[in-house]
Amino acid sequence: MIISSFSKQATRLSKLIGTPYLLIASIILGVTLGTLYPDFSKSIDFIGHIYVDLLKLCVLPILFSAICISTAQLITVPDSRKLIFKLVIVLLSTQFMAGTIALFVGLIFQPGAGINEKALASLGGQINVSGINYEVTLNSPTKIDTENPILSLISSTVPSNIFESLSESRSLQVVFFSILFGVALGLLKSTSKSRVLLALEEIYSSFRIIIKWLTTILPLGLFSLIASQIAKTGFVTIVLMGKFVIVSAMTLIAIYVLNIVLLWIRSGESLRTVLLSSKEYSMITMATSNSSAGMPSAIYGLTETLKFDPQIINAVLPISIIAFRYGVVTYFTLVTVFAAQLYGVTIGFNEGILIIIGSMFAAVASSGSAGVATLPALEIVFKPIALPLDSVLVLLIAIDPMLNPLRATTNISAAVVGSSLIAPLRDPKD
Amino acid sequence: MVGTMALSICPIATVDPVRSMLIQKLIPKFIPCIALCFTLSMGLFFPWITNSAIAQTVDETANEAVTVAKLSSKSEIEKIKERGKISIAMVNKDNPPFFSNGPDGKLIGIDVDLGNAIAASLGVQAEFLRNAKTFDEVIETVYRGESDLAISKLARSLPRAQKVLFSSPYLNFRQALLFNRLALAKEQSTGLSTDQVVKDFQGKLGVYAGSVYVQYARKIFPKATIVEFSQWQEAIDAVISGQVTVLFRDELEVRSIVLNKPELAIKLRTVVLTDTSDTKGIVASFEKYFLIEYINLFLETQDKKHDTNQLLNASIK
Repeated sequence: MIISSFSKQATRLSKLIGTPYLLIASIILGVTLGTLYPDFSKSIDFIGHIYVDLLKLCVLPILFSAICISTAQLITVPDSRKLIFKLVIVLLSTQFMAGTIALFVGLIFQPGAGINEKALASLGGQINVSGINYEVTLNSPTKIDTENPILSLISSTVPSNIFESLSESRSLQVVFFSILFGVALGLLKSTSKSRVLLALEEIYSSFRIIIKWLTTILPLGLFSLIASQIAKTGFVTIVLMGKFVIVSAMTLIAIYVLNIVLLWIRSGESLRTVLLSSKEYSMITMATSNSSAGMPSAIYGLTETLKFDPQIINAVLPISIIAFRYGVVTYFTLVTVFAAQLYGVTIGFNEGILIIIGSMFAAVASSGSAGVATLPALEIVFKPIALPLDSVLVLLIAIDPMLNPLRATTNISAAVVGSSLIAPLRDPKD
Repeated sequence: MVGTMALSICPIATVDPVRSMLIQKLIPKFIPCIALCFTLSMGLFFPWITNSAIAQTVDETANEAVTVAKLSSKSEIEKIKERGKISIAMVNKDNPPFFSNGPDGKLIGIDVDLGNAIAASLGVQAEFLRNAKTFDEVIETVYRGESDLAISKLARSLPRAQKVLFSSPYLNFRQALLFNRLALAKEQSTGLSTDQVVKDFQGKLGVYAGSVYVQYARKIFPKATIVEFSQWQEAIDAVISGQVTVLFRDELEVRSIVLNKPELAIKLRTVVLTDTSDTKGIVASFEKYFLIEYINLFLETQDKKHDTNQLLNASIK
């Protein structure tokens, strides 16, 4: 009797916690605290850190088990080749579209043009402060940049030691290993392979439960993460780069909204259900600036709330999260347009195409890295159109805490839409 | 030693009638000199002449030569003292923080302070001579004997040292490049690293005309097209507009440009060459050997020593 009333209250409590109002309240509280009491906000940083660590803890086991199970099952399905082909087509066409949108936004709104002298001086001050005074020793072996970023990406995808990849969270290598292992497992003729699959499924489900618990305390994590992030952001640079920050943020949000609309059309569910399915992964990704952290929730949203085929989603979504990087493509295109305007380089048709394709390559090359670590891949876009990167990079790093969450959220929403376009809806009779 | 000394003094005596007195004094000294040469050659052909005997002769002859030199230089310092002032040449363009006209029109700067301090230590007034348009012209001024010294951020270089005497360095900088970022990116668009572009630079390189960097540039960047600018500001404008890809000068000058005008840091990039040096010395005409020795000792006993970072911080307005 007592137990049942307790569990009833617990359900009511968790329902209350799960409401969007509480999430919105925690965001507002986080922003207010971060702006008004930056020191205190920095001191509660550890709560957010623990929260992110707990989320990340679940990512690799889920990544591994989900991909293994689904590829092992998919390999026996005859049209698996068609699926991969579909994935590549959807990936390339949508990424190109995202890049094109960003290019036009950049050309229309001109974020890098007409920055006044005073703002330029402050931006230059930022560059000077970071002390990037380069030094060359004439009588020493010459440093050469011969490494082809695309080739090095391919070679770094193949792990030599899977435990090393796991312990260093190199998700690209884990995905590669999981696919390889899944394919081999699927091809096994032995009857006992189902036991391995069953064990993997149990691992997957257990971690799903942990994620569910973590979602319950999402408002707390969100609040502390946002407060400390706001407190740490360099406001001076954000104000100086104001136009660029606003244009980038708006473009990323617009593409996110576009993704939600696409998902709405594709799923055939009510808008409310679609928003409900996207709420959890969007919030988690926004708070952690890490699209992998939102993956378990995204799988749940697609398969449970929106009734997409779990087998395909489980296989495709983890790969999509790594491959579909609209956020990065959009951002890189905008950054390049910004830099070109800052340096007075005109962008014609050829440069435009070069920027979009370069951004797509750079986005792929940066997969596996999150946050500021994504930015050096911009070199792939900057080099062919002869724009200087190191000065721009300093400015981008200063504003990145502001844009990184949006970039990650746009990335994951793109992965969700991409997977939904490939995966069929579950048979309603099931 | 005596032979070379005597030889080096001879041409001055012929060009400068004032020195004819000196040569008259010196002629008797040639006799022991020839005697020494004779003894030395005898030493080669007749090994039985003892070494100690030669050494003694060398010592005696050298001592006499030093006395002569002492006499002449003493009279130089004495002349300065008699005049009550020491003339110091300086480039006529301002070059803060070394020499420039202050807000009240008074000459200020590190080099000016140094000149005044040397004058004060001699008990005379410093008189600054600012006719030369370039650094090389300042060297010429001293060479022609129009001033006693030159303190004008002068780089110690081999071609200059063939004309004048340099003190030991009172400043030591590294050489540096100031790249137009966009032009550098163009050079790098084929996949070259910054290191590669610097070491094998082939584009347009701007230098300050009449500075030691004209020679340095030819030596370090043989493939570059060297463009000389008579005004430093013109050179800065040229690199901002991309008319030249890079400027070449000492670290202090190069880095203070972007530190003083941070808006330029977006367009310009500094590259310091770590294994180069550009030492600045005080200059005197080559017969003022003991005046330079005096200045060396003066510099050695100074407590206040400047370094690049301290000067850079001081130069930020």
